[in-house]
Amino acid sequence: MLPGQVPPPNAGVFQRSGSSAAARANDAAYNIGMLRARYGTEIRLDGSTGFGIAGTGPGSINIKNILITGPNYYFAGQAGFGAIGNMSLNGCSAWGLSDVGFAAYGTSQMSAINCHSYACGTRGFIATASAALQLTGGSAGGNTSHGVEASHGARINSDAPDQASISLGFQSAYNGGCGCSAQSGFIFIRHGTIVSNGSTDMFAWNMGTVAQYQGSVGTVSPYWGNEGNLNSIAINYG
Amino acid sequence: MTTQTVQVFIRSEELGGANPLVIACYPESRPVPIDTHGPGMSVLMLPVEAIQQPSLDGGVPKLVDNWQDFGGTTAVSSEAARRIEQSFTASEQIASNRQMIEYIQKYGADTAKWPPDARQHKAELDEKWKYVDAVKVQARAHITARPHDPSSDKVWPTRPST
Repeated sequence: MLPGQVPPPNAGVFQRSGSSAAARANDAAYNIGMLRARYGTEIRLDGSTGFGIAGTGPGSINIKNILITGPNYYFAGQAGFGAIGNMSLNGCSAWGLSDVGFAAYGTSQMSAINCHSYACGTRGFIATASAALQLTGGSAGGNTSHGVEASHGARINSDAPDQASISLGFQSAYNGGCGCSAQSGFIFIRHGTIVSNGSTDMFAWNMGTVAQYQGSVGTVSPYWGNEGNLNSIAINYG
Repeated sequence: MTTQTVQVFIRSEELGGANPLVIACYPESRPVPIDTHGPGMSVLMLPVEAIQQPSLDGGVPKLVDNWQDFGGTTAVSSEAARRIEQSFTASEQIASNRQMIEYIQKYGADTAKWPPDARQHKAELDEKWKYVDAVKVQARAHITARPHDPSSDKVWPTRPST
């Protein structure tokens, strides 16, 4: 980190004015300035596919206080932090990646503690196939599609660092699509704030499951306690 | 294999667009109030082929380019059935018929000779039957000239008050 600076402590330091393309573009310009004023190490990706940092295993790697930025326009196949093996991330941020900020693939496990993903071309955080992603605090905002996505058998869990305070919990807000999208995947958000996204805040599709406990959630599809498309469900644990 | 028909919630303001976002989707048979996902929603009864799945790389489900072509008869007739079921369920209709037969057996075919409470009951049921008939007539007209929003109250007969 730059002298005297810390990683974004929560979503509150990011500008988030709306989920429209214009609002997200405006917020993105402010947020990259805020991030660069904090981080001492930035990995910049250009118009190429690939990862900023990839954990390929064997074993788990620990990454702390790194900012990875992209070109801030869309093309498929670029991610800031990519777990193929296991990764543990603390205080890291992704901004403007052409595709995804944080990605867990295959059988990997990614732990993201106080990590933030903004202004990415599609999604902020993803877990796909058999991957597992644990979000402890942190946030996703201003991404073109979803803040968080679990797909094709993956699971994402989230909680506040103290497992109690919603103010410290993960936030997904002002993304262009959904705050959390589970397409044949599972997402459980505890003490989170999932609001003000462009489409639906928590969305389950094709046998996906979204669930929340003691958080703040705006819109949900299917409605709490109901089965939607191809047995997708949304569960509110209160 | 019979194509599955589903209830698709989309924003009413997107009805005129090419690919409305799918806000929610439920089996056809499940009663889901139209305000479940907030105001400004339209519910379309569509075959699953009218939904464009998200890609493997994410995105959101939308209606396909020519979703109106899928709607046609299914969208209108399913909406008509939904409206009738909401106001006068199939079991209520059967019970109504049975009640009328009982009245006729008991009081005769001339309803003018029925006691006031039976006549009042018949009048209430007649209102519901009139509504059923009106919805069916309107549905036939909508199949010929499809309305912009088949789920809008504005394009269907007013529901009976009882």
